[in-house]
Amino acid sequence: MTVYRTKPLSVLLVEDSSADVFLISETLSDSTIPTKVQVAKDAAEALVLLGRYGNAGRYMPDLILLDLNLPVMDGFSFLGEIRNHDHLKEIPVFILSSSSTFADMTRAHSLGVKGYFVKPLDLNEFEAEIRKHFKDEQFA
Amino acid sequence: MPRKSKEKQLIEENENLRARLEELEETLRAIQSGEVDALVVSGEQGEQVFTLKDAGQPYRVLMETMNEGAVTLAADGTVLYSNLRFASMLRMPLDKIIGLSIRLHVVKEELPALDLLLDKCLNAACKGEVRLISGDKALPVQLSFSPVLSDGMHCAVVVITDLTEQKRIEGALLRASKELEDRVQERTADVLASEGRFQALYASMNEGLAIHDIVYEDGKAIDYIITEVNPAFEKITGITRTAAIGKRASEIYETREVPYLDIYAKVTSTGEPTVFETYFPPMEKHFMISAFSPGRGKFATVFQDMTERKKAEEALAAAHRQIKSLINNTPAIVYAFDLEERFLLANTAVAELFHTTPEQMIGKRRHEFMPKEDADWHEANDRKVFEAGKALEFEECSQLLGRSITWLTTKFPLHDAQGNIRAVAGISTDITARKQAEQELERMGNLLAEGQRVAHIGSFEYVAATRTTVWSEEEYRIYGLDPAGPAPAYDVMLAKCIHPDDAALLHQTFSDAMQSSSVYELEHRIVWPDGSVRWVYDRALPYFDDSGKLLRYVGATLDITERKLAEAALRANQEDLDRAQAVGNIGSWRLDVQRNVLMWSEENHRIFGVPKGTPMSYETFLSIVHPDDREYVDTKWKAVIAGENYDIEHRIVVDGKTKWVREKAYLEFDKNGKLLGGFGITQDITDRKQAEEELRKLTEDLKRSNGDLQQFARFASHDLQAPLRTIEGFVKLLIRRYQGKLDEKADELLGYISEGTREMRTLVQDLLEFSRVETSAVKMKPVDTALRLADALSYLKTEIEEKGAVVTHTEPMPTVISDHTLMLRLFQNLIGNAIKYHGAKPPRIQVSAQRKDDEWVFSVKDNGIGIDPAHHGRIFEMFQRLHGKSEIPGTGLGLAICKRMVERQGGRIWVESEPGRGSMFFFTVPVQREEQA
Repeated sequence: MTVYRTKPLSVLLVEDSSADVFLISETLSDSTIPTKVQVAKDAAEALVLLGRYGNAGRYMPDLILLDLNLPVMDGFSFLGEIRNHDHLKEIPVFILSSSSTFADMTRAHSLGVKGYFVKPLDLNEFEAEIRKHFKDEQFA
Repeated sequence: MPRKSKEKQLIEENENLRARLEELEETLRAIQSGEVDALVVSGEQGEQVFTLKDAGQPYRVLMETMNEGAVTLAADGTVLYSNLRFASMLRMPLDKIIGLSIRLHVVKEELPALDLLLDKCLNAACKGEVRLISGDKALPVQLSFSPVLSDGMHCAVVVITDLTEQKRIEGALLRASKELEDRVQERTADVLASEGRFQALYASMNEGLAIHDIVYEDGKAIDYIITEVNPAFEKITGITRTAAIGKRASEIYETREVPYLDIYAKVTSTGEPTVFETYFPPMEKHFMISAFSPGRGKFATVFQDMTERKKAEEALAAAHRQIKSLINNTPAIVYAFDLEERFLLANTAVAELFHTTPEQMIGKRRHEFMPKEDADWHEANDRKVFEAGKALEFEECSQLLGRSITWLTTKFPLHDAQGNIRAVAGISTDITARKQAEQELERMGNLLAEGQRVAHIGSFEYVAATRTTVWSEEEYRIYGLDPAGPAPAYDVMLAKCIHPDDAALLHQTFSDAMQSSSVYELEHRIVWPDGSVRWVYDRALPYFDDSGKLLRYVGATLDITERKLAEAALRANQEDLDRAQAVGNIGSWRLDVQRNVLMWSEENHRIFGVPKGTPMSYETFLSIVHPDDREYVDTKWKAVIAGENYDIEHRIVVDGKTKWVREKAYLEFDKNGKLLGGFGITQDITDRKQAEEELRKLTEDLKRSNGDLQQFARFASHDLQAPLRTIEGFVKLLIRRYQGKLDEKADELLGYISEGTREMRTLVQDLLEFSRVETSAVKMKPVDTALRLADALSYLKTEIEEKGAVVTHTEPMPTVISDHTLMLRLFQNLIGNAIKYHGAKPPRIQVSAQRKDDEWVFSVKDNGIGIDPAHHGRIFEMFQRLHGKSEIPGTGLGLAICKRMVERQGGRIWVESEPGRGSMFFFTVPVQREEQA
């Protein structure tokens, strides 16, 4: 059964570099899949947004686009953190990292990420992955 | 005696002649001096009387008839007148004489004498003797000149007397008197000699001699006075000549009675000599005295000191008794047989042997006492001695009381005063036991010889008196000589058997030993007859007689050639060891706990800077240890005694410099577990320690620089890569939104930017990978290379499809001990390269694996453009590219990364290639131990 999505795909972008935030936002705005991007400039901010410290005003994105190289708490630690929360661990996480090392990729997959993009984000690749993941949904 | 009568006769005749001559001369003198008136001349014609006064005629008659020649001479010597006698003397006619000079008739030599007479005679009468020429003879004459005045003329009358007869008589007389004189001298010499001989005899005789005058009183002898003594007298009596001469016997001998006065008085009065022996108490001596009387009232005594002879006689008698006692008490049997083989003498031992007495044996034959067979044999031996006339030695046997006795018998002849053999005597000793001992000795001797042979020890005896040596059989063998030959004399042995370099030493050593009567001991070389040289050890002890005189040296000789060789080898080994230790800077030591002796090798001394010969102890060693390490070393060493290992490194201070040593000890125990000592090595590790220190510093430097590099790699991967990717993202965004919307130029610029950022990304990625190969941990575990190859191919899927490449591999691919990632990357990079550098044809790539010894050799072969061998070494270095980027893109890091990866797992990488002929890359993976098993 195909579901037609009426609302844009909500994306939590965890990215500390403002340049990258701008680039990724602009790139996603060119996508055929409508997206609504919420930015967290580090893992702690993302966790606050996700209601890690309480349920009030809970924000539940459709997916998380996660940079690995983050200040204070890196991407892998963040992944570990949300895996411990039942309501968070269902959120699909996609890595968007400048690291293309085999080790990082392997480690990310072992922590249950749904996809791994190497920066810069290739729009075709992104759309293909998203459609593959949300295959039961029909984007506008 | 004839000689004597002739002598007497001569003397008489001489006297007669002289008397006649004197008479004649007297007559002549009387005539001449006018003392005579008439002259009676006796001649053959009878007596003639001549009247001399006024007798011119008668003078003539006289002159003509006289027996002498007579001439009258003129002053010049002319003969005025000559009688016939003178002419006959000259054997010339008168007419040849008268009127001529008398000088014509005188022997030429005597003319001066004549002239002298002629000068003289005119003034006074004179005489002279000359020789006249008488025919062919010279006639001795006397010329008597008398001056006369005849007819107023000075003349001379000369009477010439023929002296021939007189001269003959004078000659005879001279000879006779000479002879007489000789005889007298001879006699005198005889007398002198005889007296000298007597005096010499008198002085040198051993007997004392004294001459005495008897002193009478009232016709009775009361004493005697010594008038002469000889030196022996002085010597025997102890009374000097001066003290004796002129003294009375009663004074000298100080006896109450004058010694032997009666005897001497009788000798003097009767003249009969006597001899008597007496003991003279004042001198405590025995004398044998001869007394005789050499003249009236005198007597002489010749006496001998008999004291010694008396003593000798007594000693002889004692000796005789002793000998008799000896003969009777000796265990040897002593006997003598007369020529009829009857006992003349038998000592107690003989008699006891036959259970009888010596007296009962005298006059009997042996046969009465022993078996006939033995008796006959012994008698036969007696006869041999008799025939030989000298002592002989026999071994005889007797069967007595069922026992066989062996005798060693010496038999010898006994002579009478005339030297004829009267008897045969014998001395026999029972040597039965000795015989058995001899046999035992021989057996022992054989045993000794055998023992020496087995032990290869020879023995020798040096006899000092003869300078000869006696050798055992083995001694000969040691010297390589025939035991049957004679032992070489000492000098010969020195010259032939001893090594020339050792002969002088041996002689010196042996001489010194003899000099000091000490043990002779020497190791020296000998030379065998075949010229081979061997080593022996001699040791000999001296033996002396009771007076301490050296009799002989008895010693043993040991062949030590093997030991010497072993010693030489050992020495060589020791030298080798010392050299090896010196080269290796490794010393060694040995501690004998029981004797508390610590010995160091040369190198050990050198390492510790302690001169050889320094007394060593544990404390000496500890004092050299660096003060900061002493407690540590001491603790460790004490722990060793308790059984712990000793393998330590510590510092020592030698000559103010600090050195490092490593010490390791091995303890040695006896079979009961008791500590005997230890052996240890000392290694000078100063250089190693310095090297280690330098290495540590270098390693630290390297680590620091490696750390810096890692920092850089991190920087490259994260901090450099992130903005790069951002740029790339913006470029992509720019292209997507504005490509074809601006002018053509702008599109071209976008293309360059995009190209540049992609290139930079590749470079940063490769650099990152390269640094990661260095820094990331490699996990060595079994890797299935077939799976890794498949992974690599899946990563390369795009390129393979693009170029239509065909990749094959050998079956099966092995499982090796390696790292998954490394193997995957290797395949990926090498196959990727093979595709990238393809030739005109589609790429054909063959992957192989082959086991070679203890490694796996993998290869990737392609049919690409190939590589010039000149570049084969370069291609594995960083940033080395053979092609322009526009031709074939690349960072120049791919093969450098491959090389790093191969090396990280202990392998090698190389290429075989020719341009246009494709390339074949090889790399190896070592086979691990567990894999081999």
